[in-house]
Amino acid sequence: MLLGFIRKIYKEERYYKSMAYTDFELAEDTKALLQNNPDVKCSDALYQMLMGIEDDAIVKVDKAINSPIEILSIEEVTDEVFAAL
Amino acid sequence: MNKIPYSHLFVADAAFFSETEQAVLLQLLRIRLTSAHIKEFHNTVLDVEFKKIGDVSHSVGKIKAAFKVVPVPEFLSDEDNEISTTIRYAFSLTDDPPYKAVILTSSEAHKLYLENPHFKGSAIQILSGDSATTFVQNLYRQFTRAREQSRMQ
Repeated sequence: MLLGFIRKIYKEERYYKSMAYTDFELAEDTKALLQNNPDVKCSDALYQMLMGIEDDAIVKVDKAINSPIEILSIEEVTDEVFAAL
Repeated sequence: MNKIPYSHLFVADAAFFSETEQAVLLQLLRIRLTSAHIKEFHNTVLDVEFKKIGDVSHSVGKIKAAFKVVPVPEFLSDEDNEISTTIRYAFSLTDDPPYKAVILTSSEAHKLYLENPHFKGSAIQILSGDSATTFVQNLYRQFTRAREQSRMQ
């Protein structure tokens, strides 16, 4: 049973890695995506975090392009974050 | 904030990244994201040039954030001169607004572009070194002005 669970997680991780990509956007554009495309999946925690970011900030967004699009992570791009890219 | 109709698109070659500061790349990313033109094609680098980027001070991640890596268009598949490929690709972008493009390169490669027979007309500018940095900074100032205006509203 444990082996099955591990296999499931491994398969899901491989699946998301194969479908995921990173996009750089203005925070206001990511907010507009979430407000205008009801199919986009995003956790409440990520949504709340995004809403606390200034509209003109740059965000690094990891997305999985499935049906529907899923936002996996959001990170504000500060000078330090950009330097680490 | 309203998107900004910048006057020029940017095309970079591999040589440009060897003498560009990180701050300029961050400004180019900001320009790309705030462009009123198609943001995916505001700053581009051909994949043949991107593959040549070797040991430059910037990681590939920063370059891919600021520039979209695009395949060589089919109409250039027979072009075997790299400078001509970049110039002709840049000209193809001037088919749409803003109808002007800047090729960003290194000081060393600059002369090769100016001497290339495809480099004619005024829709394309070749910039390198300080002139490239100044040009990017001038466009970036349009963004900072627009941001100040939107914050005052």
